Amino acid sequence: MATSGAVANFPPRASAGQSARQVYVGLRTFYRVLKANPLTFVGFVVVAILCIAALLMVVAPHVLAPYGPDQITTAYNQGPSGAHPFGTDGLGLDIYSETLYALPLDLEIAFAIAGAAMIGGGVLGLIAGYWDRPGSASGALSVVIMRITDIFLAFPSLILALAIAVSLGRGVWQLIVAILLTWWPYYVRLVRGETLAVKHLPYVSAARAAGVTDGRIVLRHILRNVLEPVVVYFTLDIGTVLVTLSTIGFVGLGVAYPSTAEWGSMISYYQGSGLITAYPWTVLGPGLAIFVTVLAFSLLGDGLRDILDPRSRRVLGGTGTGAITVATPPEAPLPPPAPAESEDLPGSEAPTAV
Amino acid sequence: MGRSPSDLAVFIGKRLLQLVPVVFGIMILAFVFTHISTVNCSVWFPHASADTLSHCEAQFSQPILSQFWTYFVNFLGGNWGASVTGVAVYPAIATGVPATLELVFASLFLMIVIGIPLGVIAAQSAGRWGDHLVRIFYLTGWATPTYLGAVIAAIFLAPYLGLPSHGEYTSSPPPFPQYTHFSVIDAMIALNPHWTVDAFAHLLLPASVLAFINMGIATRMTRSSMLEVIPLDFVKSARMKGLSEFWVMYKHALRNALITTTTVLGVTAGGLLAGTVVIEEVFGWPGIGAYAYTSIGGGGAPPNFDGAVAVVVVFAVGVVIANLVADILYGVLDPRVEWR
Repeated sequence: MATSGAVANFPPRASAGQSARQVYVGLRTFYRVLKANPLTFVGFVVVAILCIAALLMVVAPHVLAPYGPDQITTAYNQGPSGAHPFGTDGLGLDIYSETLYALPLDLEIAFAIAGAAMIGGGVLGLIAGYWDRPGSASGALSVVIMRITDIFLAFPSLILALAIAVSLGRGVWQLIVAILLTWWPYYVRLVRGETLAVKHLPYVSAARAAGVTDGRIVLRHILRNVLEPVVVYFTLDIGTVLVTLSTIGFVGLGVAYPSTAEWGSMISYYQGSGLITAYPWTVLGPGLAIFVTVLAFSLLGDGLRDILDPRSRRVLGGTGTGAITVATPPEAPLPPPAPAESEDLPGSEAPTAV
Repeated sequence: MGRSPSDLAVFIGKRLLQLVPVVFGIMILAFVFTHISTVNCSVWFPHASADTLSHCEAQFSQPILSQFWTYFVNFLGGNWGASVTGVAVYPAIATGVPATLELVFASLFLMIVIGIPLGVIAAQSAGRWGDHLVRIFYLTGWATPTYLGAVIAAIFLAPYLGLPSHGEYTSSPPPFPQYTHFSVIDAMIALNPHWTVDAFAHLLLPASVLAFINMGIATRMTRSSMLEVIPLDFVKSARMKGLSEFWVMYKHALRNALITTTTVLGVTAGGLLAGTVVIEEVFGWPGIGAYAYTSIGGGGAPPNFDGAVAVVVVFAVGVVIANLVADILYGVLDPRVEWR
């Protein structure tokens, strides 16, 4: 490498060759993860198919959906058949097409909520984890962040989201805001825990001794090593967000079906009209869609988490040394057990092992 | 600092004191979040009289902090408000809490007796088919939205299995006094075997659905902590003594693995309580979950804001207490923990 080796260049910038190598190592690791566990592989394939299908539904819906989003046919309450794989409802809507039209919306909302929560909660978690020296102004800020986070964590998020949704009214934006307001604290706790675990490691101390600024340490050294567990948690979280948003739809506070298709609202609509016993297939399409989507993201995330969990990694073998560079054993991201917090702060309330 | 009962008492007292600001914060948040919208009385209550509407508008047009102060003072005085139709909130919640606790404890019991052994099996066969099957099982529960599982169980499974799927008893109210509002315990107090069986049968399906959906956490945590324990020396020496594999796993290894699982079960309280909202509504279970469902306007009912705030606060306090209990259990199970 052509770097001069002067102190000013520490840490050396990643050259093109280096980052290509990093990408290669990342891909190879990912391949090993998929190979180690067939279920993770299945999850990955289904997630990929779903994402491609969602893209297709946005770009060219008629490739997949035989009917338009509001196209009413003359077949009412028909059972599943070749023409209507999931049957039709009392309005003559083809449920297979409606289910497909809901796919991009549901995925968009889930990614928007989990993504915004990850970024917002992640920034707060980095701040609360890195600048936490007691007595300083930033330490006080960190305490404030964690106290507010603790209060939010005490709510079962679904119930708070429902309460917010009733106040905001029905609609896509309202749904996103209601869930997002309850979702960010989990990322604060996760990122803060990971930051606390990483920040005392020798390479961070070395960077600090070399005169690297705090901001640069956080961005280049802490963030990069915190990212892996967070991304795994994010993958699993997509499924949880989907369940939550469809539950709000089921309660009748989400988007209004049939004007907008969303899986939870669809089930709510068909179940609420009392026709579910006479025409049970009406819930088949949306129900199956939620189940398959959440299961796929869970399989993928669960498998990825296993690889990050050193306890499982030992058993799985093959993906051991060098495959994934986790600096410290991360806590199982979901659900973060209470004792894992105990070593975080001297003032922590959890019982502490001697 | 130590492990004597007095240390434990001090620890619990301290934690309960710390609860006070948390509960206050929870109340403010719950209140503000349910009242942030623009006032929309005629939409919320389309069939209300002009009198009620003007009352509603007068109440909601005040500054939100003064609304909260009025609510808070009343709350401390035992007046938890009322719905628009005048049904008081406090009695409804007081009778609902035991019913919900019964459901949650029943499903917690199922999670423990089914989920933990499954975790052990998965750990024993890690990376092989037993492991994969267990994973499919708990991820199936994880991926099933609560309402979908509840609807399928109540509408399709219940008639097939011959189990009841609505309410606590076949006739409501039952022909004996309900002292505790725990359905099974009330029937037992009445010394009535027929109604006890009836109460059990009514409890079985909702509790099973709730347990199935939340099973993954117990199973996964047991599996992962068993994997940590199995390679340790004391497990090897137990095997070398010639103990049977069953005894080694369930007595020696599981006992140590359970420490983490217990604390995680405390964390699941939030999931279980949130699950009751939909499950109680679908199964007609008269707990605070169903009350929350109607309070927040589920199924098109007019929203009951006083009820919504109260029920959110009760749920949140339940979660906080569950975490406290988990911390205490953790200390009881792990002799290295000191109370402080």
